Order: sequence, then structure tokens, then C-alpha cells
Amino acid sequence: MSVAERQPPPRWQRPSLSVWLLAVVFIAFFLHGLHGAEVSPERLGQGAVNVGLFLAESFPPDLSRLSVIGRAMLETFQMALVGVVFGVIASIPFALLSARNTTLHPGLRWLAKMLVAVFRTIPDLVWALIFVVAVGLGPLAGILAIMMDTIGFCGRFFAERIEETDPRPAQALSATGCSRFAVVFGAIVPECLPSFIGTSLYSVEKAVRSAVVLGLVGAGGIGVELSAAMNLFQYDQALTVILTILVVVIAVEQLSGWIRGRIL
Amino acid sequence: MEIRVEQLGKIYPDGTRAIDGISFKLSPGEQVTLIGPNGCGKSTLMKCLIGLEPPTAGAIRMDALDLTALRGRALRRLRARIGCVFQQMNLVPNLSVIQNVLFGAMGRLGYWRTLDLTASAALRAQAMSALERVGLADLGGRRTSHLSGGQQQRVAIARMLMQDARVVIADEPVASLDPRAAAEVMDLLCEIVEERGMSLICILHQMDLVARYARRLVGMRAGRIEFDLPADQCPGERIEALYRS
Repeated sequence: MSVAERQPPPRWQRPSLSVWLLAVVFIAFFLHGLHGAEVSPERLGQGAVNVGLFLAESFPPDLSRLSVIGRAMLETFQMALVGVVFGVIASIPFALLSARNTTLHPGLRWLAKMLVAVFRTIPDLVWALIFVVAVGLGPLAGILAIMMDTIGFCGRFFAERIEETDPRPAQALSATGCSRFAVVFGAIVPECLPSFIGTSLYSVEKAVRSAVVLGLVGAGGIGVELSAAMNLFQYDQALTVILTILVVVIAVEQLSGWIRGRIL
Repeated sequence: MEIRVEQLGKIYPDGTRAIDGISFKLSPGEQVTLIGPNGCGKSTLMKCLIGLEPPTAGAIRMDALDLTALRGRALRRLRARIGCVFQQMNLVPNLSVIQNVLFGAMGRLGYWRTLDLTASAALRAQAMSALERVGLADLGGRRTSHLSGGQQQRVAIARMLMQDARVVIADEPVASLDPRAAAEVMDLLCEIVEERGMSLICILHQMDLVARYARRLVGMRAGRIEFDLPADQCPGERIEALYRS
């Protein structure tokens, strides 16, 4: 057999028309976006200088209002905690209804999954704006926003964990004549509990980070302090706020990581 | 409890004919061993007997009740009287041993009265004596997943004791155990069944165990009963014939 008899497959296949079209659309959006941002060497240079000025003016951080900032940070942390606790509690029925093996009815499963998806898709900042209108300025709006965000997150992950449980212990309990409720809370929920706790701890981390931002729209917490300091050009106070946030977020992440390591 | 299986048939939705006209009778306190190749319908028969799979033909009578006609609460009440020992992994691994044993009474008493946190002292004492009977009283507080396979199967037997069952259905109860643990668990199971006058339906795969423990031997093949004989009168070639392709 001669060498040339069988050709190797082509190195490169011509993309189809749809791929070409997609590429053109993508490149068009990208270039237009870049143009809209008005990037220029002068602007980038000026930006670097301004960051330098901000750092120079903010240093050393102004610690005179540390107690006020500390209290605001505490409020932020508590908002996150309270919101996550209520969110996790509310997630459990949503998760049970949207998991294939524990739902009561396929229609109800669809509805529960839809609701959880809606809670998840609307960003927490938008929830905060809605709740500021509904219940007024302050931490309650933030707590409610975090609660919705937590249901969107935990509802989905809890349901996925429930669907992964080994069906055999549950089957064994049904075989002894247990009711559905007893099977779910006797065999399925105990199996998922460590994972539920891990997911909830991660929710707390996530909620602390988002609670910081929620203050910017008036939903309580340290965000108000930060935006006030920035607007009044008190960069040294702003730096104190930023450093406080940094310390607390890292501390919460470390703590929750440590607890998760212990239980999982 | 007397069990009568009459012309039982099961065709799965995909068209598989798993059991095809099975009839037998089990008197109270009688022990029967089921053997047969994989896919001969043994496990489907077991699932029908505990009401986990509805049969497509025939009837299962337990005393006066027709299991196939029962629904909801009445079915659950009947199931509470049938004890099951499956292959491994039928316990809830994350919970304590005593909690798994207490769940044996859940069919009778419901969730809250069998939850370790809220169960009565009398019920917890009963669970401890069930554990005592299977020789695991000192492991009551241990997490179930930390136990060996043989120990877990003994916990399952203790759970069945809590259930106060009249009939025990065991589906390859020792398939995943080493020979020594298997013999221990089988001895314990047979002793307890005898002691309490329970009936036993047991699927076995290992022929040495069949030779040692079977009294009445039922051979199944392709969804039908091939023979139903006292074990000591069953010729070896009839058993071999079951597994011939």
C-alpha cells in the first residue's frame, strides 16, 4: 500500500455559516463595547495617577470614627446572619418540593423550581431596592434581600443534594410501614444534613460580602458609611471602612472554612 | 401470620415478565429459602410481598388481608408487621445505632415518638434490649457508618426486632459479608425467628449456606417456581438445573 493512498483527516475544518455569524456578532459587540468605554492611553495614565492620589490621601486611615464604623460592620454581619438563617429555613421546604424523590406532585415541583430560579436570577441589589421601597430604609430591607438570595442559592443546592441520596435506607423505612413524612425526615434529611450545613456556611460568607454592598442603596449596614466617606472625599475614613470590611470578610471565611472542614 | 400467594404475576412497564404465575403457601412460623439465578424474579417477588412493587396479576393474602388491594394507611399497617433484612446499606449511615433501631417502631408509632430526642424512656430501653439481643448493646451511641458490615446487619436485625414483625423477609441478608460474619448473622437471624415464632422468607445465593440453613427449599427460574421441596429431599441436580443456561 502506498503512503498517499489514505489521506489523513484535514487539519482544519471550515466553520459552518452559523459559527461565522456568531463570531461576527461577538466581535461586533466586543469592539462596540470597547469603543463605548473610551479607552485611551491618556485616560489610563490619568487613572493610575488618580489611584495613587487616592491612596496618598487615604493614608494613614482615619481611626477617629472606628467605633461608629465598627458598629455598622456589626450590623452588616448580623444582617447577613439573620437573613441566612431565615433563608435556610425557608429553603428546606422549597428544596424538598423541587427534588425529584421528595416532591409531592410534578406540577408543584415545577412551580418550586421556577420560584427558586426567580429568587436566584434577580440580583441581591435589586431585591434590596425593592425591599427599601416596601419596608423603608434600614437593615430589615437588607435582611429580606439576603433571605431571597439565600433561598435562590440554598434551595437549588439542597435539592440537588436530596436527589443524590441513596434510595435504599428510605426504601427500607417505607418497607416497615412508615409514612412519607417519616421517611423523608428519618432517612433522607439526616443524610443531607452535613452538606446542608456546609452550603449554609458558604451562604453566610456570600451574604456578608453582599450585605456590604446593600448599604449603598440604603438597606442598612456599612455600605452607607463607605458611600458617605467617598462622596465627601474623606478618603482616609473610606480606607478605614474598606480595611474593616476586609478583616471581617476574611475572618468569616476562615471561620466557616474551619467549621466546614470539621463536619464534612 | 399465614401467607398465601396466588397466581402472582408481574410485568414491568418495559414488557419484562419478571414473575409468571407463582403460587405458594407459608404457614405461621414456617421458614422457606428461595434460590435461583439472577433475574429469575426472586427480588421482584420480595418487593411484591412487602408492597414496594404492585403485581400485575394474582393476589397476596396475609391472614385475611389482600396486600395487593390495600392502599395508604392500611398498607402501612400491614407492612409494619413484615420485617425486612436487605443486603447492606439499608440503615441510615449518618445516624446513631440506637436511632436506627428506634426507627423500627416508626411504622407503628410515627416519627416523633421514635426520634431518639423525643422517644419515651420505655421505648429506648426496648431498643437497648434489642441491641443486647444482637450483641451490640455497647455500640448504641456509635455512628452507624462506623460499624463493620456484619455489625450493621445485626443492627438491621435489632431494628426488625423493634418492629415486632410476624413475618421476616430477608433478601440475600449476608451477601456482602465475609464467611465468618455471614454464618454469625445467619445463626442470629434463625435463632431470633425461631424464638419469636416468626415466619421467614429468605433469598440465599451461597450454596453452603443453603445446605446449612434451608428447611423448605423453593427453586425459581424465569419467573416460575421449578420445585418446592423439603431441603433434605431436594436432589442436587435439580438445584444445578436452575442455574444451567
